[in-house]
Amino acid sequence: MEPDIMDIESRVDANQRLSSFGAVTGAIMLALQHIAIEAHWPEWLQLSTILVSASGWLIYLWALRQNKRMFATPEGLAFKEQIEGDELLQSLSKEAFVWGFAGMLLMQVVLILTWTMFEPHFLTIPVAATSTIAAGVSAAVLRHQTLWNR
Amino acid sequence: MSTQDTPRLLNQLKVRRAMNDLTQGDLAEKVGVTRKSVNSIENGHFVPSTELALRMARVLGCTVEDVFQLPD
Repeated sequence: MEPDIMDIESRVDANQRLSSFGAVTGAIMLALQHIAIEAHWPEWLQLSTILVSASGWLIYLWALRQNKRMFATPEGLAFKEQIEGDELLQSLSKEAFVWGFAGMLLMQVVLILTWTMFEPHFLTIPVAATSTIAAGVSAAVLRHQTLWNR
Repeated sequence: MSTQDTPRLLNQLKVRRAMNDLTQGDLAEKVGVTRKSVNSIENGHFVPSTELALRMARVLGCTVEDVFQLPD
């Protein structure tokens, strides 16, 4: 039984790392993509940010799909049930949520200060919104990964 | 139930596991958590709930105080 569970656990770890990388890359590059468009960066640079952002989200979705397929197997299902009742994982999720929320608030403060002091022309609503989302996603995901990897 | 950087709770989990010839995976399966949780508790990164501590003590055939102690 244990080798199966250990194998599932290491695959869940790998998928989690991959989905975290994809989500953070996708979110940050999405914000950068909007900055690139609003600030009229060269077209090739705008296109690059779009491509990298899309790649990040594709990696994220692929990792989620891998997890879903794995949890459809009997061993995966047993591990999923174990995860759902695991208090360590529940506490990590709660802490990651708090960090994500704090990240979003911090970004809002940074955006307000930036706007007040410099009034940059590229700081539009899409830029502010995606930057806030990127800060929240990054803070939550990175905090979760840090605690998970201890 | 909390995560932390410095242990607030000492434990003899590794010793008790060895005495019962149990791996982290075996213990995790018997108490219904993941191996990572057992590892985190053993390394002092995570303080288990009272319920989980009691379940662990029962599986290890001892009292909670035998497994977990407050630092002096």
